[in-house]
Amino acid sequence: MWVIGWVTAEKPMPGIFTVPVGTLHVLVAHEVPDSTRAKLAKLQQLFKAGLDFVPLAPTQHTTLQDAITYTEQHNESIVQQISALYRKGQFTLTLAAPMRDGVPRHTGTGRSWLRGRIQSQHQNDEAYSLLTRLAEGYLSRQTQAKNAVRCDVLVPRHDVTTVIERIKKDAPAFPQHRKLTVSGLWVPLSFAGQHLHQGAHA
Amino acid sequence: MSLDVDFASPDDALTSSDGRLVDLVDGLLRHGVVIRGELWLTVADIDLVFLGVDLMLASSDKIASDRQSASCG
Repeated sequence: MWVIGWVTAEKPMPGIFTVPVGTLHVLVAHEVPDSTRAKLAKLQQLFKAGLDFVPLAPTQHTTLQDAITYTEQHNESIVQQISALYRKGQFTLTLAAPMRDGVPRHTGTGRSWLRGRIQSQHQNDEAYSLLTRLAEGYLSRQTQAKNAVRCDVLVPRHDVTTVIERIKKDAPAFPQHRKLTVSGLWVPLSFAGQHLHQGAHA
Repeated sequence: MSLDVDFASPDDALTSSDGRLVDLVDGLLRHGVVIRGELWLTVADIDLVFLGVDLMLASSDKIASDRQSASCG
């Protein structure tokens, strides 16, 4: 068995069953995918089929009993998460960084290294600011990326076309020649388990 | 000069061997709710490191207020 996450109502789907705990249901699959990437693919498949759920991290393996205990202890937090993520998914915007890992290769004096490090951090801040401007009006958060700056954006399912069209329209106007990779709409993993601020785009 | 934009669907990213998309998928695998149990750290679809973890889901405000209450005794 594989504990997938939580839903507020029972949703019959092939290979999936739910266990009621208070006002919530723990979502469980009969079969455990053979890798974490296969788990992510399954989460994505459920999300694409229209299921709204709070996902457990694909890297997590937990027993059903642990999940039930956790649900009993954190019922309110999980309900809030489900509500905040309802009918939403995430886009992932990745802007290739001009410097390797954001750290200048130059060795030399400590002062010059620090100066380069500050410059690199400044460039990363600018890059993140640029990404958030492309996703203005939506809740976003910076996440880690290799040799890049990454921003995950929480987007209502019905806004996908709007967001893509906006990026297509606005990206050419930015005065930087860098590679931007836009991927989505993903199951909102980066926002599950996070405190979601109020007042973001509904 | 401008941004050179690539769009990748989740299906594309999950099956791609392009380094940028592999890193994107690895990044997603680091997220989601983590509760008490076992955690595998993965790079490029290879399970590398096992950790025993015991974490909780809560807002930063809640944790901060609990910490303050605890320190006030």
